[in-house]
Amino acid sequence: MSQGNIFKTMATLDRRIIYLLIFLLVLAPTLRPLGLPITVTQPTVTYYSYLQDLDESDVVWAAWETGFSAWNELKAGIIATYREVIKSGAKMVVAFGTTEDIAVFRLVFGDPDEGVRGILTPELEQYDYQYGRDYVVLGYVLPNEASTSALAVDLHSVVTNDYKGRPLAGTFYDDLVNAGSFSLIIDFSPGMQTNAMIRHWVMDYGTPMIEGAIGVNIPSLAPYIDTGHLKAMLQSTRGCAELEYLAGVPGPGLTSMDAFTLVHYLVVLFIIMGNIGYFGWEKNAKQTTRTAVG
Amino acid sequence: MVEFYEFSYTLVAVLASWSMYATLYGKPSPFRSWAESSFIGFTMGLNLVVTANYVWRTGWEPFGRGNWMPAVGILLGLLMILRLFPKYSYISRVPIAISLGTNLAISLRTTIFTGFISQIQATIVPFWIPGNLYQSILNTTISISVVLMLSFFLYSTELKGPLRYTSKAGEYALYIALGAVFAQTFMGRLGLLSGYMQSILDPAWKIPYTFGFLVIVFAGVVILDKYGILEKYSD
Repeated sequence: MSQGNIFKTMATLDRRIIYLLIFLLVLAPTLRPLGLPITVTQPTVTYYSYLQDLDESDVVWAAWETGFSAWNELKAGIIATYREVIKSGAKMVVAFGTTEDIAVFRLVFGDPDEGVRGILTPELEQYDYQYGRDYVVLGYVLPNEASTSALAVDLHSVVTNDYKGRPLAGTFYDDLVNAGSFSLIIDFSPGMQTNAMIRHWVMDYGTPMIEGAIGVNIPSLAPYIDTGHLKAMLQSTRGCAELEYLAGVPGPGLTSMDAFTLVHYLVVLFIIMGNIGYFGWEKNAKQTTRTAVG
Repeated sequence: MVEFYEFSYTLVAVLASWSMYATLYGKPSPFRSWAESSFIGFTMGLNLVVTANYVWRTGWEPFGRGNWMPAVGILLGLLMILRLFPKYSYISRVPIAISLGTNLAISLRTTIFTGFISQIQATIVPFWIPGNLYQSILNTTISISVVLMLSFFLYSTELKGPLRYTSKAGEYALYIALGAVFAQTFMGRLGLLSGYMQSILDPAWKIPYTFGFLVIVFAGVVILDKYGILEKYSD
């Protein structure tokens, strides 16, 4: 094989080979975790400190907006976060931002009425965290900015029944008036009503808000950390894994980190290889005829 | 013992996933078309039911409590149906205009602070923080990058003299920022893949079905391609 052909192969590698290698490098550590080390970054430490500060006198506004797509990216953080909320004994009002979140919530909290067990059912039982007394679910009430704004001003003017149509009267929901009634907003979202909550819940009522952000949204939400509108941000699966580490309960996040490490090395390798191939091939091509496909 | 409910949705999910991934083969396939159509249908149905429930809970039920305000919203919503009738479709512009106007007003009231004034304030930071070298470097980087980047976006002035160099530096700062954004995006997408792999491989009873469907779908794609009918039955 001539030198030119090696460069050409490096520059025009069949993308299916890249897909296959990434797939294998994700698959292998998922089946057999390696336990590669990770470091915990300051944003996650700050996020965790807000969870640790919660106690039984606090009420949390829990916005579930991931749907199933972002759930796969943020599930480690969601599970670890709400495990800490349950442990703290803080009360929680759950609101959904997408139509799929009712199923995502059911996956985590189960459905006591139907005997369905969720990922956190053992914690719910261990800490005697009960529906109605400790948490209520409003359901899909965050479809757009207008509804998010209306809820911030007056919760009871928008919702008086829970997601199954049962009256919320007689629960701790009676004592809540508006966004100012909450001690903390926890939002996991691919960007549905996050900005609307910052604008109407944080800006108008000063309620502290922490965010679990997908990778794509980190750059657009990071400025809100500097402005103080967001108190802390869990950054994609990496941040979720760090939270698992801090909470001392290893789970899907830490398992993912092995795949992250391996695939990131692979991508760096491909970037170097592609560049060497491109420049080598280009230099070589100046001496020969070159077509659009090589 | 795995419940039938969990077992059945796992099988459908795994089959649909591999069918969607079949697109990585590089050609359209009927597997992908089936999975895509199923997803669209499922999503539409789910959205319809959940949204109707939302309208019922927040629009209709308030009547029972003597609150007539949602009637206006319901009336405007019904006007949207007129879009289906060409002769009267112009009336549907009324609810669209009201919706656009109110949403813009609601948003703009605070966006001017969260998205503009507060962002500028957060950029005006001291270069040097005694005893905190790391934060000092971050502050300096942010402040200088903002100025350089702004000079790159000066469109009404010829970029010559010092401006030529600051704009060029701003351009490179922009490339660095774009690289960071792309890396975050890649990390996020990898998180999706890794998270989904866990969903279809854990607990261990899912593994044989996951790999079984993987073999079936990709063998099917290769065979159909070999006989030249892969693209024929694709959307």
